[in-house]
Amino acid sequence: MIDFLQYLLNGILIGLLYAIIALAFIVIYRAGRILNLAQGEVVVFGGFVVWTFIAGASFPLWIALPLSLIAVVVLGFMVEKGFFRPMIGQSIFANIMITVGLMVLMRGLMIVFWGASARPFPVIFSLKPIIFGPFSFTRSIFIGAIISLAVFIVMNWIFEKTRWGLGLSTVAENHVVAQSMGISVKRSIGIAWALGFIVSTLAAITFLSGQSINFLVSEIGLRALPVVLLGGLESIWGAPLAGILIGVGEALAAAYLDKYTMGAASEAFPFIIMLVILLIRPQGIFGWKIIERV
Amino acid sequence: MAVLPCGVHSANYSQDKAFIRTPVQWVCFIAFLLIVFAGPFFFPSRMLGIIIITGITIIAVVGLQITVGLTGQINLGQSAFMGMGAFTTATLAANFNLPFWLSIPAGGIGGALLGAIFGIPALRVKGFYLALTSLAAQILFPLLITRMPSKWFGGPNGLGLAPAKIGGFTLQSDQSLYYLIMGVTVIMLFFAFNLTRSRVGRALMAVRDNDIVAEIMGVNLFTYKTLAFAIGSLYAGIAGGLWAYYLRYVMAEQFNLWSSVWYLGMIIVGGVGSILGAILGTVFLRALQELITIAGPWFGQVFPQAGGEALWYSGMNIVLGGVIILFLIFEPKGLAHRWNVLKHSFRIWPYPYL
Amino acid sequence: MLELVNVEFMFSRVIMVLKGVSIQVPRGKIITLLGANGAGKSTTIKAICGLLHNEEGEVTDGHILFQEKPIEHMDPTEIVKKGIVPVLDGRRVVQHLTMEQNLLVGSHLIPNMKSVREGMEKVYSYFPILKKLKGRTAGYLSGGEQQMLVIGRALMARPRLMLLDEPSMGLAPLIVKEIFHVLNKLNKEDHITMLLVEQNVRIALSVADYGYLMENGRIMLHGSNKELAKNEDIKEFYLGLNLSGGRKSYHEVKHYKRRKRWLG
Repeated sequence: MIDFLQYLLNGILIGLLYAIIALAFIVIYRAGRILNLAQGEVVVFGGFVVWTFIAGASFPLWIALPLSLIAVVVLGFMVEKGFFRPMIGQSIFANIMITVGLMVLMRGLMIVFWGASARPFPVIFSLKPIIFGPFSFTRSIFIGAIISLAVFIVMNWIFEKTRWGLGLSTVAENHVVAQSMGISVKRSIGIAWALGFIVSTLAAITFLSGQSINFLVSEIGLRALPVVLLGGLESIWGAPLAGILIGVGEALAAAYLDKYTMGAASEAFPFIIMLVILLIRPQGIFGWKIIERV
Repeated sequence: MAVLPCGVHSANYSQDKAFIRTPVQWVCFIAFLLIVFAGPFFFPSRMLGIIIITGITIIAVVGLQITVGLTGQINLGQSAFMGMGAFTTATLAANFNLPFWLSIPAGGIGGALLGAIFGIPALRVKGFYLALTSLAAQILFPLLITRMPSKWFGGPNGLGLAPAKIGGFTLQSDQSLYYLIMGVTVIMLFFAFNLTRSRVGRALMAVRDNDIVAEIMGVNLFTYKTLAFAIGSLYAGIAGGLWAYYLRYVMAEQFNLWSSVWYLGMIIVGGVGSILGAILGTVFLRALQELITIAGPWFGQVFPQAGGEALWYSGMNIVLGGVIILFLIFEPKGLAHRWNVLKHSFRIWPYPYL
Repeated sequence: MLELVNVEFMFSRVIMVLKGVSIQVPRGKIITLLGANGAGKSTTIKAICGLLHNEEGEVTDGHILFQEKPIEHMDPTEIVKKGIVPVLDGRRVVQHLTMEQNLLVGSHLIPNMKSVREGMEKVYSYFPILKKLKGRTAGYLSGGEQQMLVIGRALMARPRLMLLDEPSMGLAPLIVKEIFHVLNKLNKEDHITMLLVEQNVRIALSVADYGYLMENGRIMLHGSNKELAKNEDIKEFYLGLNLSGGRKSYHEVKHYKRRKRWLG
């Protein structure tokens, strides 16, 4: 029983980490209508930027973190301007493919800049496990979960309550309407990317603290996709809920099914869920229903 | 078909439908066949290997073009469908001793079945969501294949198979495989070119341009969307079967997401929606791949920190990603469009425009 | 206040949609722009607020002057900042946001939150119905409610000049009446200048001070509302009246068909 609860708790914490990556995804989708398949690469790129400032340039933490956030904001704007601005008004296929191109390109660039071998990521949150009664979990994951919740609250506030966020949602829905209200489409999409990069970097910090980092970590982006889909592509609060569901499912599959399937159950679980959602309810739990007319 | 030299007119339908219309086209066609046929006699063996792989890739990419370019159904899992074909062929050949002329078509059918299954969601979802369906197929494929009983697909170790035999003759050398693969490629291309001008092809294009309108006009969406995936992955499956006989060893890792991305890149470079584009794109990117492999050592001296094998990998990545992005931004219609423009200006030469 | 001087407008430098259009919109008046489908009315509106830049549309000749300054090459954002707020055709609410969020989107450029609140109260006073629908998802509102919402959203931006594109499109006559009543009130009490594109000539002429008639990208006729209402071509082709002012009877129509005078 205690084992079961421990798996459950770990699942929830891992799920929240998936959710924060999913959130970066959602932020970009909600303002730019771009399904960023390069999300994992963005996370790892952000992680490498942090690594560069802390381990490479050995700045203290309180300088390095703000600096990295500024750097990724600049990067986000650059990515938007260079790759996505020319794609405004192009087909969905082109928009998906450009993120695929970005995914491959960023992998290549990461190897050129930081090499292919794994590097230790600095310890940002102490690694001492937290022991709570009979349960124990890694501190970094626990703090990561708390940070994710905070980020969720902030992002939800931005997108639902501020006019700024509402403007971003308007851009996502219809560029012409947004422009007719005086909202600059280009700037909004740029902001969306900058926000997406910030959230991704926060995800990298919480996820990678004390771990090792190389370009292969970006597989995490693909694992966050089912979370995004289950929660709904537009829904900010859907992400943590879906993250917890999938995290718990994965943890339980790993604990009870993996021994029969040579480790495939936990790996396949999120994607099987994803297929099921696509067949039953493509908009996810909380996503917007697509209204389509001829 | 569209662009013909001045003064070529059709007097009846069979003329109008003919593939090859003018003496020049006949000359080119026969010359092409001759070069293909004579290839093994003057190509060096390394070149031959490249051509064989390119031929196999062309089949898979043309299949992808039918799903993605012709029908507009995004497919990120072509490589998995190819893998399905390869494993079907391999297991039939290794475990049931089927001759290659049965096992390769069976591989095609295996791929087509898997593709059709993952194509079914296309009825409900499109765009982003469909991309995710095929992505799930791509990610689940190796997980499933390697966990099957190792008697079927060899488990994590993969599966080896004996060379193809016809009568008493073994297709083991590159030369003999070259003829097999080129023959199949030409047949598959012939079907693909014809598909674009058939009733089915037009229905598929109607689905691409506006599926709701197509449905109103009486195109059964379920049939045609599934069919698009089935045909596309049939090509993939046959390519996989040939691959199995060429390498004579199949492993799940050979059919990963990155190959799928390469195939998509080839479509984009060639021009979305054009069979000719699929061929041009494949040849272009394959050539680029070879170039990087050759230029790899030089690259290593300039960027020493990238180091070793990873460097080759990163060079490939940067080039592939860069090419996809550049083409999407600057030449979204691809090489096929360039080619048509060239042909057009050649036709009206010496005048600059009509 | 707004002046179009001999404006030519082309798409992709190929298709000329406006062929030398001159319109004057004086401060505090309602000016209406009439014409059949495809005459170029909506294009005129979109050209004024710069919304066609991303469809490769551009003003190739002439000027669009707002308070004597040319605005034809400005970004839509800049133009809205100057107080020119369009209400596009087809009731384009932001479907997935609630009604109130839609209004907030409209106030995007107003920095002061207090004046945003005031603006919202004002919108509710003009369209009391909207207050009851605050939390509803805009996409599921009825057509009339959506049209009121869209006008309200434009009001949130504190317009000095409103460009209305077919506010009556597809609405029940009573709702049209209500909307035009409000438009009239906005003009008279809040002194918002309006350029009104309409197919419904009768109701447009009932509120407008001056009207222009467009056809094939040219202004064919202009005059005050009274003059236009009396004009025989307008009567024949747009109001469905016969020459003596009674309802046109299609029993009498046999061979004679009146030609538009400007077709020459």
